[in-house]
Amino acid sequence: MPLVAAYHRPTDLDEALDLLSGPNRIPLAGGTVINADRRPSSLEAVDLQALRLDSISATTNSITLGAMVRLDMVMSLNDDLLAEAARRELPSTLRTLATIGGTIGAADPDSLLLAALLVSDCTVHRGDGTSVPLAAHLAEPSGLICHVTVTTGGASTIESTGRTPMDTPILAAVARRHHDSVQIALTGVARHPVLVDPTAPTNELHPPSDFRGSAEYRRHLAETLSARALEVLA
Amino acid sequence: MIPISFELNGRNHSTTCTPHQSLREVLRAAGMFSVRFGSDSGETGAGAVLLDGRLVSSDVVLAAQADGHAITTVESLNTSSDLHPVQAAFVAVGAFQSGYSAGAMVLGTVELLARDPNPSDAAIRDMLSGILDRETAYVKPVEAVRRAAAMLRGEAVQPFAPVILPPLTAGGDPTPYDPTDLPPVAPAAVPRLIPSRDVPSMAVVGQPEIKVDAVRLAKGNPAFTDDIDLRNMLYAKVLRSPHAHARIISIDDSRARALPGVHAVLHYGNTPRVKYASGGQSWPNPHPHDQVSFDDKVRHVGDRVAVVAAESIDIAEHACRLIEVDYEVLPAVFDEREALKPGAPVIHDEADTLEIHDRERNIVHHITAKRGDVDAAVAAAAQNGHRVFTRTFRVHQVQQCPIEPHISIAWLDEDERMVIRTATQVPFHARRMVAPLLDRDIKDIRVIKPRIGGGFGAKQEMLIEDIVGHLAQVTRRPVRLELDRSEEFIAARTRHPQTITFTSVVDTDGMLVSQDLYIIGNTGPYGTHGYTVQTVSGLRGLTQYNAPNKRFTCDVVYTNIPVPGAYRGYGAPQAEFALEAHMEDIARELGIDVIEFKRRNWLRLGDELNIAPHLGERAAADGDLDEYPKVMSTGLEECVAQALREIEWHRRDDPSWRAPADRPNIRRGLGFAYCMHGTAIPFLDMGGCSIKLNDDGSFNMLVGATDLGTGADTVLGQIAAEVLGVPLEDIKVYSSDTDMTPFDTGAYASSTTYISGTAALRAAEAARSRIKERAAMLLGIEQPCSIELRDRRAYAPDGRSVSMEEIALDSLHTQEQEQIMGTASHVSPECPPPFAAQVVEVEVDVDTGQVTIVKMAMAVDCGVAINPVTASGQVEGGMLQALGYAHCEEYAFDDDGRMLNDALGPYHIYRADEMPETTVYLVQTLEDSGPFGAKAVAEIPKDGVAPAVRNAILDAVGVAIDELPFTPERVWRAMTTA
Repeated sequence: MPLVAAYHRPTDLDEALDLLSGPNRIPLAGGTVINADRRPSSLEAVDLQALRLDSISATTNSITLGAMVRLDMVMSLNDDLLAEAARRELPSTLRTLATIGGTIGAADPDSLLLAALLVSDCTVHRGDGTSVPLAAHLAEPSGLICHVTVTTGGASTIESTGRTPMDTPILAAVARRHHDSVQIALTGVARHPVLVDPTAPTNELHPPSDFRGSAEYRRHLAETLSARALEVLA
Repeated sequence: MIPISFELNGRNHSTTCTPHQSLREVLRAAGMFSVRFGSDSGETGAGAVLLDGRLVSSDVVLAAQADGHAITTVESLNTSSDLHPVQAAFVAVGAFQSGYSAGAMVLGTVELLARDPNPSDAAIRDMLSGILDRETAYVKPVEAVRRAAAMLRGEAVQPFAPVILPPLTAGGDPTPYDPTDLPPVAPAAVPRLIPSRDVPSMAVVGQPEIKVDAVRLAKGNPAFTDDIDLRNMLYAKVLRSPHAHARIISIDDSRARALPGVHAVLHYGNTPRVKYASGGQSWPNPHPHDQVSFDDKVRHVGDRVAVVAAESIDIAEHACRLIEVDYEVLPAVFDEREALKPGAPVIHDEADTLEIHDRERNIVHHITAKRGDVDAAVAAAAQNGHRVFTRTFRVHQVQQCPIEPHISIAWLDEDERMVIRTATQVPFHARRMVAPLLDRDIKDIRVIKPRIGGGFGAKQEMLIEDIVGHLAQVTRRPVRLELDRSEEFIAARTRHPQTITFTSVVDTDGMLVSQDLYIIGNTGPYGTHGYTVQTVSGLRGLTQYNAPNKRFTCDVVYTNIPVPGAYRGYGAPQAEFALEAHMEDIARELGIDVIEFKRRNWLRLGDELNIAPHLGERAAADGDLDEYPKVMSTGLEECVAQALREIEWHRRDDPSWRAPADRPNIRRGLGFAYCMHGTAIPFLDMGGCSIKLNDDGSFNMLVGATDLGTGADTVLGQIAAEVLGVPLEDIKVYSSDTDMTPFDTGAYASSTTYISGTAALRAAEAARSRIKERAAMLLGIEQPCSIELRDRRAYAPDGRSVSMEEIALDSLHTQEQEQIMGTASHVSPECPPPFAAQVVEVEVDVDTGQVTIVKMAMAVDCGVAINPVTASGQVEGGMLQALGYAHCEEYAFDDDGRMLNDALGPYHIYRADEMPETTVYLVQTLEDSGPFGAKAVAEIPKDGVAPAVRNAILDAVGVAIDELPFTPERVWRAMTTA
């Protein structure tokens, strides 16, 4: 656990925003990231569980998910891509805690779910009333995430390479096709998952090197898995 | 403090917590001992509970977050002495080994079956995906969930027992492979047993008995080291080195000592400097003794610097941060090949570490052994038309990853004796080794080993017992120290990396003329186990094939990596990877079928183990001996036949299978490895046992043997029960308490069934002898030897009988009163090898290098499996660990020696939802030197997976990779440069 100095559980959004405006305050969603961090800190946790941000509403081709919707709830959505990405994001004992809002907030570069949200035209709705595309939010995060809206349907695929079948992929190409348009997002190539040009996926890509894969190998995977995704959705 | 209130197992529970206290901590404080610690990140799932009905890792839930919610633990099911059907199902199929995560598995199953009464295997594995298990390979837990589902649906379930198969070979002779003979159809969890005609049917031995500790594990009862509450307990935290190699110039602990709640701060400045070697081995521990409790030099990132004992872990951690250490950072070296070179940093430059072979070159030990003349064989090869093959392999550093970390609790008892309750595989060694460090006599120390949540060699070490002992002496209060997951990686023990070079000479008939093995073994900064592990590498690398000329040369080298030590397999997995890869390559070079080439050279019945006596702690000097140990039992040919049928070996010759038309980027391959291991260390491993008869005809059995979750207590109980003619339930086993039980060297070297089992056998025989005499008295018979014990009764030849209870009451209370008991110990001059055939099926993505293990199967000759369910569980779990070694696990470091993946996520051990199909065959043979014909089974499953995967990749895509593990980029690069 982080050595959080205080715990708050606001009961409405205004109270939450007020609390979060204070210094060293962090929103606490599922806790799988924040609570796993044992480094000392003077942070104060603002628990969002009482804000009723866990609702799901769907239209014909879109879904609105509250920030506190858990990944096990996403697995039950009538959308294969989001459900599969949520399943592969975390194992059974953690996905029952982790939330959409927390996943976006953590901005894990290897997150399949974030990549799936990116190719689902995800819009982030914040507590201050503003709405931005997920890609923009990831590039410049700010504000309290209240809910997100995604476009569903169409064909989709996750093409990935990892050490083992359920290991966090070294790199994944997550793709969705709507009508004639295909979007591809890559994990494992930047500080958070990114949308890429399906016809030139490695343009302006500067993948990192780590013990699981060198930059050169990741560029190779980006080309290979993107091409494979396009082939699947052709 | 924050007041919180939640529903706990249906009742309101109100308490207080700190802002950062976890739900797990609060639940354990409330007596919910089934909720166990595996990691702070919740990755192990050992602390999983139901939160409003959902399975969650309580490690990553703040207790404050749980306020107002409903929490369920497995204790909620324990409403009577009976087991809940889910608990019963897990017990019935042998799904618990250590049972450390039993509560989580049971709760997960309850939750799953509540929403899906008939779950698919995929759904079961998905549920288990968050509960890591290092012991079972998830095979039997999956079967347990299936069984529980059937039971809860009201369906009848059959007793869980092996499927009995006829042999495929006759008398051990090779039999032609028949591609039309399909493998048997049975659930994966069911062991396939091929009986031997030499082995008689027995009442208890050979039966799939329920583990004697199953109920306590299923219920999550307090059984493990941490499952006790002691008043005034202090909590310890170790300050660890941030540097790989540094001299400590000074330590200022004044701010730490001044912190309220701190009771002791220990470091090199205030702790006696007593040299020791931490490996849990027999007296005298092999030199060099190159460790002290706290040193003025650190030799790896994570090395001990100081320790704090305080009123809470938080205070202890805070105090550690207040200790000011002035380091002189020194150059470091991590690769064993670099450490040997002139100019490399000298890691042990202190004067008081003796018996380092070559201090300036960091060579701790230089080991040699030989038979015949290898140099002459190589020199004459060309002249004789022989071929010479040389190949070098590199194997890496991995960790045992027991889900229960190292934990010890020490206190002074009412007689001022030191009691150490600890998760150890070697309680008797730990007692002897810790005594001089604490300046105590052995008689003033009691070491208790409760249940252990897995060891795998990591706990064959006196690792932290000295720390809690020092602190308990200084503070005179109980002190608890538990390593966190990062500390397990950087400060516990690991498998030795090695650079291995084989040179073999083969004659024109495909027979080995010589084998020369050179190993550079990386023992890290301390020599613990360094000598013995590398000798086992030599032993295993040079024993399983016949060759008249053999030579082993080894340099054991100091470096600055986290400390290697004992890890299940103990040097064999490294050597057998290289050996079985080397033999595969030779066969291909010679154009000989690989099975046939190995068969021409492998050990047969009666063959000598011709280098074994020359290697080990008590090795014979070079030069031929009058007599060598021989193979007295082998089921290898049957193992090979069963394994090849199971993997459908003929598919190697089917192009459409090898390159499936619908998956153009996939190539398939099959791989084989032949394995041979040892059973205990001859003339060294010793175990004791005592058995006494109780009033009701039951028995108390005291054994020094250490059950790590392997089922040792059960197996030893079965042996005694068979001898005494009673059911297993009448044998009450108590083990591993240095005050109460006989001595035992401990749980390592595949020794427990063979050594401690023979001690149990003999102790039971001694008791039986006296029981027969008493029965003869009661029945008026002259010859006690004619009495037969069975079904809790003693039978005379004429059919009359008395019950065991009648004998007990008579002997304890009525006439010529005596306590009937038997005591025995055993040490063996033999080391009968178990044999095995390992096969795997892989798919290789030729575009990315990703390797997927589709299936693995092992057929093992472990003699007579005393309990086929626990034996098959050993093989399953061993293969899982071996799979990680081959495929994904490895230590990654930055340039300064800091581990980059010291958590289970980035390190990655296999989960339930990604395991390949896993099947086990038990090929029975009768080993005369073992109890009821038993040999070992614990370690041999670690030996074959890596070479079999390597050979399968070679089969699939034609590239031979000589470095582990087979990660996607390594395979991709091999393919692109081939």
